Amino acid sequence: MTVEATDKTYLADPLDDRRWSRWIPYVAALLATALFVFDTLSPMQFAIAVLYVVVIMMIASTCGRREVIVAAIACVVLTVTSYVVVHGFHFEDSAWVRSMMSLSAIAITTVLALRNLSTVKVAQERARLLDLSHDAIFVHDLSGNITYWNRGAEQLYGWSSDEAAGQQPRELIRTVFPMSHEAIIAEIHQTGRWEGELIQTTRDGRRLTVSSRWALQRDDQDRPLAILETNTDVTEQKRADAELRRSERRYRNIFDAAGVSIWEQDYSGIKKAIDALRRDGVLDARGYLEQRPDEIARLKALVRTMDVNDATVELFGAKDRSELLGPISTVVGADGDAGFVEVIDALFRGETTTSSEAVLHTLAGDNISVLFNMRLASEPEVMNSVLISMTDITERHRFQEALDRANSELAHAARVATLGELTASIAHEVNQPLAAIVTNGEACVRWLSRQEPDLGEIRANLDRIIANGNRAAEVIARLRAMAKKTDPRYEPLSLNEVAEQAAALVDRELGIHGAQLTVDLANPSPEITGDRVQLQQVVLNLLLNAAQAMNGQPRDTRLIALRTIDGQDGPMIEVSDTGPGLPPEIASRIFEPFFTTKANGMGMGLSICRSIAAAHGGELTTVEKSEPGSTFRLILRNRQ
Amino acid sequence: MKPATTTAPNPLVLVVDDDADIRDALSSLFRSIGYDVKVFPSAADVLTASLPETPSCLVLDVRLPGVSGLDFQTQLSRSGINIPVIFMTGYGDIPMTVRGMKAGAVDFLAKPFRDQEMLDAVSTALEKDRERRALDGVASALRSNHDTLTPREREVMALVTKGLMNKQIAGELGLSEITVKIHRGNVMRKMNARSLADLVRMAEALAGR
Repeated sequence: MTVEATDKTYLADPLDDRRWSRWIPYVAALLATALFVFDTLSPMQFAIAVLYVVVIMMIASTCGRREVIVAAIACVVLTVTSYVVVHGFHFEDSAWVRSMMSLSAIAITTVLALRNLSTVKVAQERARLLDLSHDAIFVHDLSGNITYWNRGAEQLYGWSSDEAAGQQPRELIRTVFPMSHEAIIAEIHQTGRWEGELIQTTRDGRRLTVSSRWALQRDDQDRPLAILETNTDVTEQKRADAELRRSERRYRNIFDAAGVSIWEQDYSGIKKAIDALRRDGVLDARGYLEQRPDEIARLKALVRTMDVNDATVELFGAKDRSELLGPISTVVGADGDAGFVEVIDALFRGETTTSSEAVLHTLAGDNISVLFNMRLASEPEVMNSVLISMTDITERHRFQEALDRANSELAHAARVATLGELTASIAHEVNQPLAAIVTNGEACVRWLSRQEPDLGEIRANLDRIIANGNRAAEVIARLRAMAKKTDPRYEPLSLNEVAEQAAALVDRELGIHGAQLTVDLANPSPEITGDRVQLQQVVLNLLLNAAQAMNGQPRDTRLIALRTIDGQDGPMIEVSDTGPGLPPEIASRIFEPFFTTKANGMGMGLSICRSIAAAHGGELTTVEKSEPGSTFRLILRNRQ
Repeated sequence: MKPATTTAPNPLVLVVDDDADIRDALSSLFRSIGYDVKVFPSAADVLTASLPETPSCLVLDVRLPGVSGLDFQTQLSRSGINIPVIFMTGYGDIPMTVRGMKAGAVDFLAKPFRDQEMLDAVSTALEKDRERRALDGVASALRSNHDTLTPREREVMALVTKGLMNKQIAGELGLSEITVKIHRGNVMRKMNARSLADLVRMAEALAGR
């Protein structure tokens, strides 16, 4: 038995043999019987028993090992029986020799058949294994004809092994090679294998990309015999890869070409720190961090910049990307902490996006204001890729600051103008305690120079001098605050205090106008955030307007009510008068700049008051009321 | 300045100012030289207060809540209260000073004032009030004497003080000269006049009211 024969055996489709192979044992038995009869009865001087070899081979071709052994024993028994029947127990002549030859032939054939059987079995199992493979495996001989076609190939290409047998793969599945076929053959003959990608077409016309591995089969003499081709369908994988590459390229393009600065940062260290904070029972990351600048610095050091785009390089004045990679401390200074805490707080709360403003440093050393947007790009559970996009709003901030400054200057100018109107009452406010001090002092001297100085009176005089000195100082301080030109300072305030202090400033002026002021304060006082001086300015303006509105009417009807209210819409201050009220055509224009009903008014007061209200996130409006007169309402935000 | 004698009732200074500190200071100053002081936060409070019959004056802030100092001054003189007024002002202006002085204010002091100025003004005012009270005493005696005259006697007195002779008066009133003489004698007696000149002065004083 040759290897070639073995190959043929395993390459033959076992299904084809089955139909007639079933009959072979019977044919063999028949043949054995015929040989026995012939051997026993024929007078021929010929080793007819040698032909038992055929019986054994027939059995071997269809049956297993046991059957072969049984057949061999049967053949030996038949041969010996024939000899004994014909020759009796005489063992010396040529017949004995012939019989021994036949027995030897049977034995040798049996041994060979048994050995062959085991080889065939291995080959068949191997073939079954090949069928189990998901890969398409086929063999083509050196002339290119398909000699084997496994189940994977049937499934992949759509042709059965019968249909494929004898066909050329280049025609059947229209294989397209990445290089010339000859070169591949040359390589495989040289090295025994080839690997590459092929394009092939299935029975229903689908074009496949397969990863192909070729192996050259050689016979015992190392002569090339056939080529085993194993193909794995990578069409889908190729498509997915291409799609992924395209998508990555697209995002890379967007990343690079975007006009906004984009940072990709690794927050996985932060993630661990956040988990640790949670374990320590921290509930409010913002509150926790704001108390601990050291902790902020520690967390900042955990963030790594992995990539930035061109816009970032330009915005931060870097020579190239690498200058901005790594620790973020190069751009996030102490004034950037607030923005950083925003991000940490959002991540702590499990949010995947947040946006806020921050002040950052460029590499050139400038400060820039940015509006940033943080987004967890992938794997939010590890936070290893956080995308932060930034828009430079420095210019906008500068513009806003200039606008704010202009507003604040205008408000200041208006305040000073108002104080100018109040000169008479202000002079009185200062003069009054001075007069009291002088008179007390003089009285004191007189009490001292009496024959028996009255120490009680002297002491009372001195106490009054001190009290009045302080009173004068307070008036001056109030005035200075109003006249001072400072940037607005937003701080927690008691609304009642604001109202009372404003009322104190104009109380006398209202008296000069003959108006009577009643103050009605909310209890407890609403807490607000605001600029004390500017809010007082609003109240002061409203009070003066109210007094002036009632100038023409009898004294006892000139009433002003100043109220603080903790309303549903927020804390508010209301100023009502009992004047003629606002006709609709005036009410609608009263907040316009340069609109005035006063002969010598500039028309800026209420306009400025309204912008002060707006700067506080509040509103200044007129309120329709059933009672006569007009009411102005300043609504403010609650203290945060 | 002139310490009041212990026997006579102390002069009274009325202080009206809406500022308690000013009131207290003035009160102490006036008491230090022996005046009695009453302080009021507003003009209305003065009107409702009962004031003793003693030389007094009013120290008044010109700007008062409600009724202003000047208005109050007018109110007082209209109701026949002739207490001398000293005005104080924190921010004195000319029109107010003029109005106040025209209305008979004794003085007009700008705060802060020297104590001597204030005390001089008060002293002047008190003196004026003392005189006024004395004058008021004479005038009221004169008036009550005059009230005792009969209508005819008053007619006679009027004509006598015009300088008419008895004969002329008799002709004017259609009386006999004797009757006129009797009436004239009654008038001189009832009016407590020592001479014709005396009577003429009394008539002038009565007419001046």
